[in-house]
Parts: sequence; structure tokens; C-alpha cells
Amino acid sequence: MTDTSTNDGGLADAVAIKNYLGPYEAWNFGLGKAYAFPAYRGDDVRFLSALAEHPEPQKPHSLLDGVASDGHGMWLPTVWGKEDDVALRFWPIVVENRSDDGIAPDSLALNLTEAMLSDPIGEARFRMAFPVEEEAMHRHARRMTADPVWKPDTGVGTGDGPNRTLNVLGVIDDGIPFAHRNFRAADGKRTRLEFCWLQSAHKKEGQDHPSVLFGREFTRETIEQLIAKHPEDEDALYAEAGASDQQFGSGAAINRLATHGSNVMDIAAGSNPDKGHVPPEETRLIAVQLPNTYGWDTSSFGKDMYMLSAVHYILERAERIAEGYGVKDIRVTINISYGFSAGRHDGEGELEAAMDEIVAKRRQLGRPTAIVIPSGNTFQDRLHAEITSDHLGSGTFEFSWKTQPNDLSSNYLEIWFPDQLDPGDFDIEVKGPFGKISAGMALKPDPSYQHGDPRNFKSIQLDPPNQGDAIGQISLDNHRKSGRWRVLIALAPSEPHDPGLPAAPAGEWKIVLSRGDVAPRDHEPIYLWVQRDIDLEPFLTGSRQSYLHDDDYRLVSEKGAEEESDQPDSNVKRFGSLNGMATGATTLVVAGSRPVIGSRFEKGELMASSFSSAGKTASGPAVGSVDCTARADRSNIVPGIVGAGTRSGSYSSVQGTSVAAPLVARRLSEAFSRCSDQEIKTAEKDNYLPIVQSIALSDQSVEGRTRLGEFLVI
Amino acid sequence: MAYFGGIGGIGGIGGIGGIGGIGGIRGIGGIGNLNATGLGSFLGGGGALDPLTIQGLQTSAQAISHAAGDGATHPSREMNFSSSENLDKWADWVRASLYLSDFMSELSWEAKEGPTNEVTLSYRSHSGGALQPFFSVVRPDGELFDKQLNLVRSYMDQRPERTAEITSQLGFPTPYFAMIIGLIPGRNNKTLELITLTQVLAAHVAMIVKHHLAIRRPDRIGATILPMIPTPGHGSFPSAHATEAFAVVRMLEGLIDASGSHYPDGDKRKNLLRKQAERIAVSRTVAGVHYPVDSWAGALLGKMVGEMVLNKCGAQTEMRGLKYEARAESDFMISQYQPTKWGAHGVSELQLCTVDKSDQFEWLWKSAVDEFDL
Repeated sequence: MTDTSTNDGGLADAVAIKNYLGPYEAWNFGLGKAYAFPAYRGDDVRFLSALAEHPEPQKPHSLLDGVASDGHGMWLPTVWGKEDDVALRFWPIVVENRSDDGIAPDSLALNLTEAMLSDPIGEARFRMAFPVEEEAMHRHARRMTADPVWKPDTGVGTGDGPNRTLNVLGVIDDGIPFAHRNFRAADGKRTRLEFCWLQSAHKKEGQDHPSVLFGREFTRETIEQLIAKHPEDEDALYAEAGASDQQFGSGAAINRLATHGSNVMDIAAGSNPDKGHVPPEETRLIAVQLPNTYGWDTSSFGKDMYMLSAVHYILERAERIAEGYGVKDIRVTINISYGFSAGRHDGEGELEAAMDEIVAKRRQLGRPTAIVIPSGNTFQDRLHAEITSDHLGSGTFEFSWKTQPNDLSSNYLEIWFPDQLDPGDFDIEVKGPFGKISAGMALKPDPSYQHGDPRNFKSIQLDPPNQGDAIGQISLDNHRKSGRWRVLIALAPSEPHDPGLPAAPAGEWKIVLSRGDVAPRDHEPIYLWVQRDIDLEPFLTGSRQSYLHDDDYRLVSEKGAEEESDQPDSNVKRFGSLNGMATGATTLVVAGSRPVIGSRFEKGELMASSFSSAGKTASGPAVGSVDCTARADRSNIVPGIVGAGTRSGSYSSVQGTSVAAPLVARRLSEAFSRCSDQEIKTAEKDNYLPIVQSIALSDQSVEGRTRLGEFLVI
Repeated sequence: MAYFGGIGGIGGIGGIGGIGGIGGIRGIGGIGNLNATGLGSFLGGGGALDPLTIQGLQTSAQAISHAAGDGATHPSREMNFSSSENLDKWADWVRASLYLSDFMSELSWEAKEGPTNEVTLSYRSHSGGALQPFFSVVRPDGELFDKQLNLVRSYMDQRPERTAEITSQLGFPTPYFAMIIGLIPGRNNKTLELITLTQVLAAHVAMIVKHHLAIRRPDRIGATILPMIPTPGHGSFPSAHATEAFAVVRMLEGLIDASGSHYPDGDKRKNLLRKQAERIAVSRTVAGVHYPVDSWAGALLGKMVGEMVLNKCGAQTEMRGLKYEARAESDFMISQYQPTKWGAHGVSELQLCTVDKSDQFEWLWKSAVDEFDL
């Protein structure tokens, strides 16, 4: 794929912008568009979400000053710090697609150009994300969203003890049962949820100045009204709230018996009246329900804007809670039980950098802010590998990537060169199963790209000698111009939804990395990560996971148990599989563990849940690390943790590090209610782990500590 | 004992049996949930035994008959003439036949062709009197169902979690109601008989309406519906499952009222029954065999059938006729299924209808209510 646009008059600016789009956008809106998820490939996409990265911090008001006054073209959702006009480099935005033919790189470029006319845009980067459904979007919203109509709950604070500090716990998830009785106060009528934003609910008509740009917002008062109105029918409650609205034609997760979000939010903040729990009223709750479309793509692509805007929203509303209840510098914990497997793993991925920026900014203001994230569930999935300079001793190294039949979604493999290693003297060759396909690229940027990250593209074609159909893309980019070079290989599905489309054959793909004579002989390892590609809940995506293969990788130990250590001779590794959005500086990372028969879990005697991902044990560049662990399985034979289902009184069992993280978030919010400013300040550099009540783990081995950290939170 | 044919209490009035011949309501018998019909098998073969036993009976009869001696005949008593007291002496399937005949003999229907094609059901008492229309439904146009398809698709993702319910509700979902009010065979035989009877009547009434309206199933007009169970061989609109479930719920509401203080929390049970009926109806949409408006039509029709049953049982109940004109955007939810809300979904009221009591129904009702003595 080359940059075909030249100086064609009005499109010149557009070309400049187009140059800033990354390889995932190039595939999903360009060469691979026919294979993209339905919301991308449709021709009726009107509103696109994106994460904009500016070279210098921008104030929200000045961002909006640049917006064309005729209509809009670009909108900001509810953002934190708008009163103080806090300057940030990363901003979540929504742009309008003005093309009648769906989205393509050219029209995308034009849309972004038209949307942002101010000068700094010339150097901005964009990370595109899922569209915003037209029914959810307040197209005529004013430049800033309105303040919510909200007042504090006068009943809070009685009987909770004088030494409790009011704090905020935010949960970002899918299918959140915000009216569930477990989130109510002790009287069963008042809710502890102060704010709830359903990002993809259809908008409430007749609001000319809405408090959220898309979807719907509920305050404690409106949730209580819904509860009072539907005391005996939560189905009707969620329907009236718009939570059951279809999204891009699929049913809402809240209509299911159980969702990821119902279990996670219950562990983080639930209080079950059947068990006599006393609700912690000092912890005020904010929930953000992500779109259902979230489940469509388990690779990292498409989520960033929804995530970042959720963080902005929680922090913005937290400041309102602080003001309403008269709490200075309110302490905020946010649980995000999500992740992906690829990414650069050095804290500088777009979303990680954006979250770090806003968290650091708020901490600078003296307001404690914590983000809790799971370590990931891909430890045994063979999604990570490393290529050392020893592997490249002879000048070439060949490895295997296996894709599966009946896979309806694209597959992605990211190859990350170590910091400051210029791959200019390397070549890559991609060979299809049975040697029938071959494509190669010298890992040098194409100088015709004059703007944005230095990069290059090449298509992978069927029947190469005859220039057959394109079924994949090789790209190189100097990610965020930071000196971290990435090769991304994108492959079409092995079974496209439309049988008329060319398919990438399933099977063993061989990838050969060759080093020339000029490149250094001795360098840090090159890391590989395959993107996660599964049908989570299931959302009928037809996704099937591809994986890396090495004959020396051992699945089962000599004793017949599931192997959980790496083999030195295998380049495919378990350690290093950490969640790709959990490597930022300000996130607290939680692994999952399980009790072992005959030992005392509550004394820190336990095992990692076999799926629980981890950082690196060996030397070499770190890929992030686990901070602590919490239970993710009831035992080695009873999987998962029991939490609430979507309806009051129902239960669900969910397995994964996703259910370990919210327990730590809960304990951290308790610590925030209990600890002094000084204690919290001191713990800040360790992302507050020191103030969370925990138990030292008995396993002091390197592997044990890498997988679980040093502490158990129960 | 090895019987051929249904063992008492099992099999029999399964599903939506055809009215084959003398009303052999066996239909889809044998599929699920027939352990709680309370009516045994319909035309159960009179207890025919296996050939070996029949042969054994003959030889043993010859061997022992002399022990009865040659004495004079004994005078015998007669049963009462035309009395519901005799019902308990008849086989369960015979009672089922009598209930059905009684009910259907007072039902009439008219399919009126015109600018709007409409089917109207009416009641006329055995004792004469006026024809009283109690349910009227307008045939929706095809475009409405095209729009409803989109709603059907949005339920598809719940198939995995509802599979157990959907497949165990292919026949009558009686255990799903029995759970709520705690019914078991043996102790609640007559209540179960009443439930099954109501379902059978509802099924027959639904078939009449379905036949005239002749609406094609979702999988016929949308290739991607791909139902998870075989699409039944009758029209889509109204849903017989919804008709049966809401008829049963309406009848059980009356039974709970008549059971006095048996349940301390009768209102909650009624809520649960209604919610369960909603779920049963919606599960058919999840499965891919019904549009939401099918559930609407069925739920309304079921209410009418339930109220007719109550009145025939002597549990006097106001019965206000209903007319239904489906709306394309209607999803089916119990929260909308109430007189203050359903106008927005195309429901309007007809005249009041007066239904006479029936000896047979009254007998069964009294026997069922007696099971809730405390």
C-alpha cells in the first residue's frame, strides 16, 4: 500500500492527516475493510470516535475554538478539567463522516481535516475507534456538554463512623446492572451509584443541551426514580433506561442472565443484602457501560476513545461529588477489567500514555487517583515470543504463526524491535501454508510519507506471481516517532463472512526475519505478540485465536500437569504475556490466583491461576509487571468467582484476572476511606499498593513473584 | 408393569396436539414436561397389557374361577344420571375430551375479509343468548413482519443461555409454573389437570386464529434467523406458547385468590407467574420461531381463554373483550402488558362478555381449590 495521493488541490491537507493514520487503520479502513467488523465496513457510518494525540498539551477550549462553526464536524465528550482548562496531549474526540460511501482512508483524512482546523492539528496523530451509533449521538450538542442535574444524597454519612473519608470508585465495563439491589444503600431504595453513563444507549430525544455527548446519563436521583417506578420488573427498568437498546443490530448485554460487568461491578462494589452485608456508603460509585460493540474486536483496535472518555467522565463527575459532599481532593479508584495482548509493553501505547497523562495530572493537583487493571488471561495461549540476537546468529530466524480455520475475523501479529534499534538493515518475509504465498519487505520507511510516523506498507497477495487478491498487509512504523519500531502483519480471516471474498489460508505461516551485515550483532530481544482474537461472551464474532508455534514449547510437564514454566529452547514464551494496556506507570496490575488443596490461602499459600499473564523473569527490557494478586478461581477444580448476575438476586460465575482486579479496587477504595493524606501520598509512587491490606506471599521464587507479585489481597 | 401406550400420568396431552379423530390430543407427546399433566394419556389404550400377561391372566382365570362358587347374583347400584359426580370415575383422557367438547361447543369464530382482514372469536352459551365477541385481531401486513425481523435478530445472542429452557418448553412448560406455586403430582393432581386443560383449550383456540391469519414464520422471510429448534407446522401469529402461558397464568391468578390464606404472599406469586409467562413467550423469539407481536397477540388471547375458563369454573371474573392491531415497533414486555400501557401497542377494548358456568369445570375447580386447604 502506498500513498497514492499527490498535491491535488483541496486534498493536500487531507493527505497530511492521512499520513498520521496507523497500520490498524490502514487495514481496517483500507485493504482489509471488507473483512472488518460490520460497523466499520458499512456505508452508513456517520460518527467516528478517535483518540487524538497532540505534540504539545492542548486546552479543551482552544481545541474547540478551531472547530468549524458551520455545524460541527468534531465534538468533545464530557471531559475532566474543562473548568480549569487543563492542558493535555491526548483527547477523546468524535468526528463526523461526511462521505456517503462509508469510511476509507481518504474520506477519513478529509473528515479529520475538516473537523480540526486549528494549527496544532497539523502534527496530531489519530487512533481511530468504534463508530458512535447515530441513534446514540447528540449531533446538535453544544461545544461543551451540559452539567448534570445532580445533588448529593443527604442520607449519606449517618452511621458510617466519623473516621471514614468519602471517596469515589468508578467501574468501566459492559452490561452494568446499575439498578441492581447490591449497589443500593442499606434501606434498599437509595442507590450508592451517583452517576452512570451508558455509552451506547440511544439518546433521550428532546435534549438540546445533553450532559453526555452520546448515549445516556443517569444520576442517583434518576436511578432511584427508575427503581421506584419498576420495583418488580428490572427488565422494564432497563428497557425504559435505554440500556436494552439494540446496538448496530445486536441485542444488549444487559438482557442476558449474566455479564462480565455484572460480576466485576459486584466484586468491586456490591453489597448483598441476603448475606447481611453493610453497604459502604462512604464509597460513592460511578459506572460507565461500554458499547456492546466492545465485544466485537478483542484486539486492541477500536476501544481507545471509549476507554479514555470513560476515564475522563469518571474523574469529571468525581470532582462534582467532591464539591457536592464538601470533600477536598477526593480520592478516586477506577477499575478497568479489560485488556489486549499485543502492544508495545513499555507504557507508551496510545491508551496507556493517555491514561498515565491524565492520572499524573490529577495526582499533581494533590488528588489521589488510582487505576486497577488485570494482568491478562493469555499466559497459556502462546501469543508471545522473543527473538534474541543469538537466534539471529546465522543472520536469519524463521518462526511459525498458526492461524485457524473457520476464523471470521482478521489476525494480527506485532513484532516490536527494542528501543532505538533501527531495523533498517532487516528484511521480513511472510510465507503462507505449503509455501504457496510469499511476501517480503525491507524494513525501511518509505520516504514518500513526509508526515507522521515513518513507515511503510506492503500487501500480501494470493498467487504472488500473478498479483492475486490481497489477503494481508505487512507494515513497518516507528510508533509515535519514539524509536520503537513495529512490524505488523495483518491477515484476512480464513473464512470471511462473505464467501465471495478472498480468504487467507489457515495453517502454519512462516515468518523469516533476516539481518544484514550492518545491523548490530548484539541487541536486546525482539518481542512478538499476537493480538487476542476470541469470541468473548459470546458476541457471535466468529473469532478464533491464532498462536505462535515452537516445537520446543512444552504444553504438559513430565508429571502430566499443565506446564507453567518456559522452556529455554522455545522462542514462544509464557512470561511476557502481560496485558498490553497494563504497562503504564500509573496502573496497579492484578494477577489471578487460586487456593491449593491442603494449604492456607489466607496465609498467602496459593498458586497462580494457570491463565494469569505475567511480565518477564529474565533480563532484557521489561514488559510491565504484576503488582499483586487476588483470587480468580475458587479452587483448581472449581473455576471462577461468584458475583452478581444482571438481575437482583441472580448470580454468575466469571473466571479470569478480570474478577481479581475489582477485589483489589474494592480494598483500595476501603483504604482510601481509612488512610490519612500523608499515608496516601507516601504510597502514591507504588500506585497505593502499600496502603491496601494484603498478605505477603509464601512463594518467593522468581517465577512466583513475576506471576503474582509479592502480595495477596483478600 | 409393562404397559403399552402411555403410563398414567406420562405422555398424553403433549404440546399442541392435533385434533385428530376423536380429539387424540397426543400431538407432540413424549417431549418434555409431560410428567405433570395430571391427565394421563389421552385415549390411553384402556390399559392394554403385554401379550404374555394377557395369556397369563387367562390361564390363571381358569385356574381360580371355581373359588367364586355358583351362588345367586347380587343386586347392583347404578351411577347417577348426568352428574359431574361421575367425572372422577372416568379415565383422565375422558374428562379431557369432555372439557374440550364443552368449551368448543360454546365457541364460534368468523374470519372476515375486507380492507382489513380480521378474525373474531365469540362466545354463545349452551343455553342460548347473543353471540358475544371477545377477541378480535387484525391481520398485519407483510411489511410489519419485515420490520419485526430486526427485533427477532436482536434476541439471537441469548440462545446459548436459554437452551435448557427452550428445549424443555417444546411441550407445555408446566414445571416452570409448578415451581412458583409448589405443585407436585399426587398432591396436586387436579390443579395440574386444570393447568393442562387450560393449555389444551388455549392451544386449540390459537390454532383457529393462526389458521385464518396465516402468517409465515420468521425463518421464512429472513434467511439469517436460523432457528435453533424446528419451526412448528403452523402459522406464526399469534404465538400458541404465549396463548397457553398467559391463559394458565390468568387461571392461576384466580386459583391463588380462591386458595385463601394458603400462600402468605400471593401477590408475589402472581408477579412471578406473569414474569415467567413473559419469559416463556420471549424464549420463542430467542429460539427464532416467533416475532414479538406474536407474543402480544398470544398473551392477549391467552388472557381471554383464562378468563373464560375461570367463568366456566364458577370463579366469576369480569371478562372485557380485546382487539389487537399489531404495531411494527412493538417489542413484547410484561411491563407493557397492562390496560394502562397496551393502548400504545395497538390494544383496544371490546364489550363485556358473560360466560356461563359449566358443571364439569366447576367440579374440577372445586377439586383443585381443595388441594390448597391449610
